[in-house]
Amino acid sequence: MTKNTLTKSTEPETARKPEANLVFGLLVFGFLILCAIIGLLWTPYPPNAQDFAAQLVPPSWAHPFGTDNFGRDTLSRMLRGASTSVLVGIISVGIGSSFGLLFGSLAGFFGGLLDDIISRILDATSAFPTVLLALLISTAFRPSVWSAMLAVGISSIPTFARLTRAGVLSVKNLEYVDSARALGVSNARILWRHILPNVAAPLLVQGTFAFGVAILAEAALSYLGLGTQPPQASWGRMLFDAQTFIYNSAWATIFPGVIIAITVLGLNLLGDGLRDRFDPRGR
Amino acid sequence: MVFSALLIVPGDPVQLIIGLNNDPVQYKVLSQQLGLDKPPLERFGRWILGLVQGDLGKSTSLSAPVKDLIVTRLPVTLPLILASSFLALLIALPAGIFAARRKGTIFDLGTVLLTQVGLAIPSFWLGLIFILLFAVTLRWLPAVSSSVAWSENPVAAFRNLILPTLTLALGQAAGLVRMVRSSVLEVLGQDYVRTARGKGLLESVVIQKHVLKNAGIQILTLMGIQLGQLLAGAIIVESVFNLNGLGKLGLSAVKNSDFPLVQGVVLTIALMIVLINLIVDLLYGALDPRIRYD
Repeated sequence: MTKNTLTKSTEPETARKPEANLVFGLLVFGFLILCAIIGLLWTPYPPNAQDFAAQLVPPSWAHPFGTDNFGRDTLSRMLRGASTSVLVGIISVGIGSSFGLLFGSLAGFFGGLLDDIISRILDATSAFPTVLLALLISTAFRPSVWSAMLAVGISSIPTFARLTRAGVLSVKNLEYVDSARALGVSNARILWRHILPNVAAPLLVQGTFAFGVAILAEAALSYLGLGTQPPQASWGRMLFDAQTFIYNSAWATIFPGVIIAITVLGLNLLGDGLRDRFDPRGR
Repeated sequence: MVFSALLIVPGDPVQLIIGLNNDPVQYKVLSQQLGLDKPPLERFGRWILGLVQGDLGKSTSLSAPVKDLIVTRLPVTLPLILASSFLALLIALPAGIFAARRKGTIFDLGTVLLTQVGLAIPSFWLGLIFILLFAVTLRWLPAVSSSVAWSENPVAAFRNLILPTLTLALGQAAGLVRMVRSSVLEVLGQDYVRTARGKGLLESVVIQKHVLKNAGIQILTLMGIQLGQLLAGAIIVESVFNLNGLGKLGLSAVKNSDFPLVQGVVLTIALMIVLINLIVDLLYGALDPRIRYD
């Protein structure tokens, strides 16, 4: 213990706790990324290839997860759907975190009227449900996976911005920031080099949660017809297609849903695990 | 501060739509028909003017006043949302308190794990699983709702609502259980709870009078937020169960590029969210006398 107190404080923690959250979350996340890459490079069947000789086939060796009403292989479509989900996660979290970081640091660093204006706009945005935003965006532009990503990304800006703002506020008056200023360092550099690294941990945690939320939201929007458009494969869209045939082929409704639930569960647990490890105050 | 935020919310969709209406492709097609060739500010003015007179314009796809369309759909969506949040609270309060009082036991861990799973399951998929279970396999309830009004056939209308309500409620309950558990845990550690127990009060009295009352604010806050999410969730669940509610109306409006109708539906939902926030704010005062609004 005496030795540990000198090293990183997380080490005795890891020794005591197996951190099941983190391990499970990382496994799921790794598996998701792997599926997404496989889905782009190679699938057992072409994901959009229709085979009318094999419509609504139950799970078998040839089609492990069965086929849909067009005879498309469910496993292949789920792999390609993983690529869609990961793309949506990356882009939406990218939109949310970059704008959130920008607005949050502006509001926190400069304060005053700017802070008031930004904070009120963020309040209003966060009260506005994602689905409604998606409804509006898809009315203006045609519904697509991009309009869904835009809606999900915009909805996630407030959380990122608030975290950034809080982090900036908590350190901006500390002495090392003052001394940097006294040395004549520019505002932009102070923000980037001295303040924002303090926000990295909570943002990473939030990014993980937001990734899960984005996947869930894209599935819901695609189910509603506001996201990924046919024939592109998306887990939510597959569930929509499967609903019509729910009396004949229950498996088609089960597999895509299970994979969404496991993925989101994994990302939530990963977020919990990362928070316990890097950001104990966030608990 | 809260009120200034509330004031912005209803303005938000308005500005969004006004901005979005300027999309060039749609503009050409619909500009004459909808009077969009007028400058945006004038349109905005007209819309607001109509709004204060209770006129939301006319739907382009259903050729009926937007207001009437919305009013006929509300009796489907409102009972769904109210019943779901009531059911969610009915599940979450006992489960959350139960888990908090047995912190660290297998019951607690089980509850927490269940809520994690509940948060990860998409609501539309849960709805599909319920259809699969109760409609396809057990054949107890209708898979797809028939459109019956409450006045025509209350029993059928009620049966239509069972599965959608359950679907929405379970998703909300998962989040609520976690909040109840953590806020009850926080209060259980307070000195006044120890005092209450020390003076020999029954555990049920301690929980009801001391713990719940103090944990109430946090629970109420989350419920307010969740009611807003429920309105959005209703859009999804209504289309799973083919309920002719506000959400389905909005969705069909998007598919038909029916701007006035989309505006109307979005505005109605946004206004309801503002109203919910207001009610929650007022309830704070009732729950905690220390909070006063001047």
